[in-house]
Amino acid sequence: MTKLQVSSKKHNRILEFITSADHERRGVAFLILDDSKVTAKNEFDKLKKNTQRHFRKRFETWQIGLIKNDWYHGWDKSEFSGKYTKCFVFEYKSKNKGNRFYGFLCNPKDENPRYQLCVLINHIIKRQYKTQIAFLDIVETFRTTLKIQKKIKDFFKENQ
Amino acid sequence: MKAHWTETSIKDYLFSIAFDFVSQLEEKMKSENMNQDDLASVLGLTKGRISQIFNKPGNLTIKKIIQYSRALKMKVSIVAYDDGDPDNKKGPINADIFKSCWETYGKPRDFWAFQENAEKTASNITNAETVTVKTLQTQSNFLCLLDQVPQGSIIIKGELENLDIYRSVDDKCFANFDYIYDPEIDFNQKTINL
Repeated sequence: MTKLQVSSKKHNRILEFITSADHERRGVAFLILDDSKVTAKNEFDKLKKNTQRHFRKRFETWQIGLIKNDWYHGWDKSEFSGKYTKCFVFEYKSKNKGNRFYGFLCNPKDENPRYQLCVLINHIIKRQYKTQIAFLDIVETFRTTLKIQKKIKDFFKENQ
Repeated sequence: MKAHWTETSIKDYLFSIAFDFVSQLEEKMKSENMNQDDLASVLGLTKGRISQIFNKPGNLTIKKIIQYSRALKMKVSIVAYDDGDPDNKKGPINADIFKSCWETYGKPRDFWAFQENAEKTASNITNAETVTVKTLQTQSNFLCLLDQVPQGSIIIKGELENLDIYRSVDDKCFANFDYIYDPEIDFNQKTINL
């Protein structure tokens, strides 16, 4: 496992919300970090407008609490020996191109522990059905990095 | 707070509401075991045309919306509403919210039925006596439902001192409250007198 250099870009903001940031229950945000493995924000900006809109709707549909397993899902403890139960993916397939954003779930607000945030890490275009474990491993590496966890918590403390 | 992305252009707003409509068609097709080929054949269109509409719903017109919903034996209404967000900072309300509320109140066809069903729903909740719920007590005393629930279940959420009580109308509507992907969570069974 490689050691991560945790230095976020300008303004020292570790997160950039893609859904509304003031929702009481859930939010989706990109991780902003100078690391070549963190591709979600840059790749989202490069997507075609129509694909961006599909993803925005998926992020918002998850935020409002609707279950749509074809659009987004996590992995339960019966899969991969329970290694990726905090990982999450948003999917959109267009013209046989499977666009996926991988990220992790966390509960970063001490004063509102039921608030759930999905932090998006990387984006891939996938042609086969099977989950690409390498990307989940990258997500897990970032999720379990203490400095990142602290920066995310601090982000919410500073923006209260 | 900045404006919602649907405030950027009419095209963005149109995409958002047309996307909700197309998602409802997809749900209906799934429940009827239909695919895009089947819908194409009912409408006398090519599969490519159907696929285009599903991928770019922003091109839908009201006429097409009616044709597509009738092809699936569904109906469609256009609802204008004031949600207290005049600058559109929060975006449009998802169409499934309106649909779920209407279904929760027994799919009323008129305001008489709406009033009767609203009274019944309130009375069902008041008559409940004792329920057992799967809960997790978190550090701030929140009761969280952590699993899918069968139709008719009583659902409780909120702080221990200030509970909101619901009765589920199907296993989708409320099934996603506080779902946490955490295999380490210790589930407690709690019985609560209402």
